[in-house]
Amino acid sequence: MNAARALKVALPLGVLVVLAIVPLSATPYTNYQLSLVGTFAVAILGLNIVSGYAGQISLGQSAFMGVGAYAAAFGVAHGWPVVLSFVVAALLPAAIGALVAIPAVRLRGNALAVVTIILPIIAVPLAKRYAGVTGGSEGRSVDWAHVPSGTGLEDDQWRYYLVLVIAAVLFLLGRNILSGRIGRAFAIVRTNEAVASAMGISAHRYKVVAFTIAACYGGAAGFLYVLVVQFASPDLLNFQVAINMLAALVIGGFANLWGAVIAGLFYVYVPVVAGAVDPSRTNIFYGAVVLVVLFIVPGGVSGGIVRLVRALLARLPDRYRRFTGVDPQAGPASPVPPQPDASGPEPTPPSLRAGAGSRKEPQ
Amino acid sequence: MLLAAGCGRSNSSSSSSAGGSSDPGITDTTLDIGQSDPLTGPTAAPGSCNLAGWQAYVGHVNAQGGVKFGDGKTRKINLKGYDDGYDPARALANFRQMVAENKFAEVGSLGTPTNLAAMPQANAQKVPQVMLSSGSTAFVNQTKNPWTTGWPPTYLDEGANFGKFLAASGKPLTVAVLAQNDQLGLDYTKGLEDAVQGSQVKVVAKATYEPTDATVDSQISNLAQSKADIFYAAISVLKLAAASLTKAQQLGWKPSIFLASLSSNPAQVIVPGNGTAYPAIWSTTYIKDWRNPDVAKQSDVAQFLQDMQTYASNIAQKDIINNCLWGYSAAATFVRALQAMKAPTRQALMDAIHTVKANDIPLLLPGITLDASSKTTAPITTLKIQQYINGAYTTVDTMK
Repeated sequence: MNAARALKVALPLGVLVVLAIVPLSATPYTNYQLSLVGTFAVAILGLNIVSGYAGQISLGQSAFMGVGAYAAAFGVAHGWPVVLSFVVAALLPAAIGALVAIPAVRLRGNALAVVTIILPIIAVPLAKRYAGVTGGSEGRSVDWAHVPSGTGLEDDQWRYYLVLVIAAVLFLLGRNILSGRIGRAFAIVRTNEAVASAMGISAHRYKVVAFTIAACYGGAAGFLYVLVVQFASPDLLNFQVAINMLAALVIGGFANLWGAVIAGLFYVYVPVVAGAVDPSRTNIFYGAVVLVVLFIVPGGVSGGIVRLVRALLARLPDRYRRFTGVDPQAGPASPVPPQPDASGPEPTPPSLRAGAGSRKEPQ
Repeated sequence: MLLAAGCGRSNSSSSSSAGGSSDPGITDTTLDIGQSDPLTGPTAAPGSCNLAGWQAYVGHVNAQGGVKFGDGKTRKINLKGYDDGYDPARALANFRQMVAENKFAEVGSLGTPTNLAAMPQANAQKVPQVMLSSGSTAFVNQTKNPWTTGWPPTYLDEGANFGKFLAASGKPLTVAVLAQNDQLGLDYTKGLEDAVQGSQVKVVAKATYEPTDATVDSQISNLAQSKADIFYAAISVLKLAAASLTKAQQLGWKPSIFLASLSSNPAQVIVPGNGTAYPAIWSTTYIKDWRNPDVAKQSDVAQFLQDMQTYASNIAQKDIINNCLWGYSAAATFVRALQAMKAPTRQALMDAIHTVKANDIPLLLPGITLDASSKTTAPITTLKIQQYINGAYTTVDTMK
């Protein structure tokens, strides 16, 4: 177990060190792209919390991200302190998310998904209409977040580090929420609402909580977006952005923290690769990649990686036993792999643990 | 601590020509330039055609050995197209990608919101963003944005030219306006309204649409109630322009039509929209109508059609719309600027652009001169009114 624990600590640390070193030698454009990956990873983590963990499909994440972006841009343009801009960018969408969720979560499945579509559909014309706040259809350009003098860094590196730190904090926070009481409640609400209410867990309440957290993450991502891109426009609110984020999450993997990171990579880099292949066929290429990934790894890339690691470990019976305490010869202990990000410090009943680990895509 | 120890890049990313003898993207034999267009999505047709027009002219020039620059060196031009899907954020990302890929300049990109998004970055980084295919007045302000230039007449010029045409008729006319809900629509509307002020021409109904809208049926229904004599369609999306013509006649409203130059193409708008149902269809133009067999025989038009076939074969001849011709003609203007460029720097390109004055740019109508020296207007400011008669456009001077 010691080796496993050491690996668990060393791996994220190693990743962090690599992430900290990369921008020092990368081009500004690479840093820009990586910062965007971090930004969309945060937005998609929010989506993952409501759709992957709590099992409620949301097609409105782009609206929350857009509101956060406009709040940040508006704050910058009016000289608000940066911290205040961030707080407003995160809390305003959260408030909207909670308000919409309270009536909306009475619906289930597709009906709920349809209600969430309304958000981006109303938000785009509203953003164009109130040009005084939003800059209209041309959007609002801002010029801020320049590197403080004396650090020896460039703007792109500075913004990258800001995104990295904020995203890391938000991921850590998300991990803690999901591995605690709320996360377990989400899992049981997703798996079986009747069981949830029998256990005294209000499905209605936890769905509202999930939506609110998702909206808050969306808003924070909107702030990061304005930090990186220096621009907010109605196109960010667009329904298509929400669909693309959901598609990216399906690729990355539902109910897995790393799924959101992989989704962010996918969201940012696939259109670039597609543009390099043939700029007039980017959408077809994007669609083809989604289909290919779904055929090869139906659980998403993160699920595929976990399965691959498990298969490799299973070939080394001794080590596998030491790592997991399970004898592979006796067959897998559960139909799903143990999940590092969902196993909290508190003991969890086996039934809940199975629920939290299920990677099935909700309907 | 590690970060504070001077780990920033030594080769500063803020690109400027200071100190260097030549800027990124230019060697003694090549010039690398980029262009961002909507190549997918609802605005893909104009975007693809714009890029094709540029590729045709650049291909033609390269096949002749390249361009002899003002500094005496002959260089071939490498033009790379990027897709932005008419999304401003992607256009901005494309601009950053061009800088990262050491493009000397962004040239001829199509779109108003997309180019507006990239403009602050281009000017901050001092990267030329020139010959943009947009009639927005935002791109012709060289005091404010010295690294950005437009190319076609502004939408304000276009609206004003048509407004004067209406006012000159001396008739009491009513006009219904459908405009895109952005600066493009505002410019078209303002140009018209300013020009008809004090005349017998009145704007009686106005509506707007979004470029991403699937239909404009409800707007047309509202405008039809005004029973206006003229329908002023300041629309940039071809299928919506066609759909607006179809819808109006379905409702029994048959005004005379003004089509914005962006959507005046017969094959994509007038024919599918059954334009013959209307008493008259006008548009403005400054480019030759290649569909007219006599015009197609002229040497520049014949050369254009041949170059399109050779270097931009992804656009079939039947799919050629005005954006292809504008792209070709703008590319020719750009090459004129290169021929006047005295040093391999971005500043030298900007200086050279403002020296271009010509009345022999390929595809421009006779009598249309191009003058890029002004810092407050587009290189082309004059337009002619044309009327669609018997399947082809004919330029007209007065309303009949």
